[in-house]
Amino acid sequence: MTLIVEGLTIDHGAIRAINNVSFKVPQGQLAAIIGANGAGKTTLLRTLSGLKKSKAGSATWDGHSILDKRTEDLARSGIVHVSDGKSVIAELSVKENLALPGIWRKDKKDVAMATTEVIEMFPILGQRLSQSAGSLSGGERQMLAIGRALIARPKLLLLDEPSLGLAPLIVEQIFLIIKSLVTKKDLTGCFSRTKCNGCAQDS
Amino acid sequence: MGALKIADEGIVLNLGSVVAVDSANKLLNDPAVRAAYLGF
Repeated sequence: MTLIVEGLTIDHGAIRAINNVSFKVPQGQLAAIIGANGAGKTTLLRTLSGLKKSKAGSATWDGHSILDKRTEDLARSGIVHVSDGKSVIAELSVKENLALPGIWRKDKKDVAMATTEVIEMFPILGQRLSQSAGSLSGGERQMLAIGRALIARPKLLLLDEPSLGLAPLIVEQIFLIIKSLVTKKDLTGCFSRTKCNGCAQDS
Repeated sequence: MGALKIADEGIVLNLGSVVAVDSANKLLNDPAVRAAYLGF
């Protein structure tokens, strides 16, 4: 299974947000999409997960077109989007947030197993199950967002700015988590990262 | 740890267009890409 993007073009009204973009991400690999604010990173990821329509070009996963499909259908087929920053529902508890993928997944046994795995992977979430997601730190929220995505059993994980607004040490922790997920679970991943001028550790 | 250190592939975008796409390692070691797009 490979993600293949060819000549993808996306407009925001009269403005061209993504122009003739092509790249490939083979199974089990992790791709970083890097650019300044306004480069089109979020637009690109939102289009790959069905949240935005494309203008021209193609994007396929496992040989099937993924453009202009419904996000929920793509999620069911294993393409799972983690939107930037505050993608968890602040008013719901950690436990309720983690339960969201279980609403549409039919295999409840596997949902329970995946939830246990996520809590083992992020013990801090296990300690905060009854707390509202809004009370979590930025790093914990990102762990919750990633954990919730994992309960959907993704094959292709699209992470928009997983490092947004996090302290450098926490960014490192989140990056290591993403790297180990892709390696251990044989996922394919794409994540975006804003370039940071003059920030030597940001490569 | 930077984004390209954990990634296998890197895609550098500028104003909606791809300016560089290569293995993350190659991008990290490309002085022009580093200077123009990675900020150091």
